[in-house]
Amino acid sequence: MNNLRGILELGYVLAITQFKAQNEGSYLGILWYLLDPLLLFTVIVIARGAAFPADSIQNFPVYLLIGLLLLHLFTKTTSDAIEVVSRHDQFIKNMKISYEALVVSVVLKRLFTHLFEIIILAGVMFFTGVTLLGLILYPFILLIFSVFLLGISFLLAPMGAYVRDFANLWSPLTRVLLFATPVFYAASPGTLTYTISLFNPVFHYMSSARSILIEGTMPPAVTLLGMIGFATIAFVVGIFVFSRTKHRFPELV
Amino acid sequence: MTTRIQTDSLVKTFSRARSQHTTALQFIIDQCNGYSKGQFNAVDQVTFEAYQGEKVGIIGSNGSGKSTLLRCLAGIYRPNNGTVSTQGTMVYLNGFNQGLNPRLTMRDNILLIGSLRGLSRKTINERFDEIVDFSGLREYVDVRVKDFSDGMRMRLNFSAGILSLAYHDPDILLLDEVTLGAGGGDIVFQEKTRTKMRELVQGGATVVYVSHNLDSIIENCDRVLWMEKGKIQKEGLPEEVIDGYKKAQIS
Repeated sequence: MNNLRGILELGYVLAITQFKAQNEGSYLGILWYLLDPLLLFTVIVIARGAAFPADSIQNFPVYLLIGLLLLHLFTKTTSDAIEVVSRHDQFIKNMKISYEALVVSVVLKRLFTHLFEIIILAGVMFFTGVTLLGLILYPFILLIFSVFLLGISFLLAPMGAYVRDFANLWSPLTRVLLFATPVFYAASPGTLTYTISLFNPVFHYMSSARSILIEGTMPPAVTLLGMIGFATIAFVVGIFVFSRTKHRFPELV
Repeated sequence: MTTRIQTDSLVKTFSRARSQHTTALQFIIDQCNGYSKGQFNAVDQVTFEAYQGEKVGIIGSNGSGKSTLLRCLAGIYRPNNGTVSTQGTMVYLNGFNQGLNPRLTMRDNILLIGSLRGLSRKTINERFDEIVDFSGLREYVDVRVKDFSDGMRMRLNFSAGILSLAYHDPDILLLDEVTLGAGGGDIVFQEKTRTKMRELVQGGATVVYVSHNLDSIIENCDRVLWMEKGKIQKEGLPEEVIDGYKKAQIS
């Protein structure tokens, strides 16, 4: 228990100090992280408005922004996780620290940024007439998504440590995910897109967030099960792989 | 007498070909070849014991396996063969240059270094004033370290590092090329660092001290191991072992 507390405490300190260092003590630096999803959001909203004026997706701007922000959180967290071992080579080689804390810090740092993204989401919801009440339940989705992200990060960190160019392999995969996940198109039950999407973990978190935030309803059982199932599998497999491989990190960096 | 450290036929193997992590293609090739190419024993069949309160020095030429042995003792490297057992709380120290982030303020750096050295945030807050006072940099607490001079950085690093380590009151202290004497800075600070290091080393902990500074080894150690090519070449009283080491270096 003390060990778990130590991991969380060091993970938190690393996350908060890295967050501060990246922004040079100014929270205006956050705007740079938000630029990527917001720019994409603007382009897609304009392009879709021109191509499909009579859109069938309810509250498309909010629908799109939820998709983009969750995908952005996934891609940024996983990219950081791949590099976490090589970035902390001096700590790993010269200090007796918990390597798990490094992975925890990656997820926490990205969650800090996501808090600012939620403020923007709330703004878009407000201006498009969507009730903000759904945001009360959003932390539950985020909590389960964080467990999933933690599991995937535990899985990817050793891969990045063992294989130097793994980031080059991962980067195109995340780009494909933007188009392979219903971010800016619908996936209604009964369609082929929906069936395929059930195998995509990110879809379940996206779909649940949309149910709660846009429709104000509980997510369907299959989506809830998908969220919890993927989070559990990712966490168990991630911890297993990480614990089996971490002893070689000091030799690899 | 309590045995604090015990190694038995300790072996640590590295690959000459792969000092760094590898590319995807090379990784697959390595898997097929079973990592067997170009391996060497950085530490080879090392057996020794260190007792409570004993100060053991380790000397040897560059690449002789001293630091690798210390990392095995610290639990950073996992031995390929043989065993390492330690008893009690342990601190491994490889200089005072790790952890400092120049883009953070001194306050945040103390939090960072303290956390990396295993202190809780509560303990760091409790010891914060002591660290700041030791460094003599109170008026710079909220200044970013990138604006510090080299001397000020050294003061901060040493103060945060040493006071964090002292908090653990370790039973075993593993020191890798750490200056036990003057660590830099002005004369007053040098004296403070010397006193603090002496307190730590002479505080009753078992100390394993790797250094090229033979005078410091003679001054501080009860026993010396001389390592070459991963093996213990000679073991005994400091003057005796160092004399043999010096002769071998000259010839």
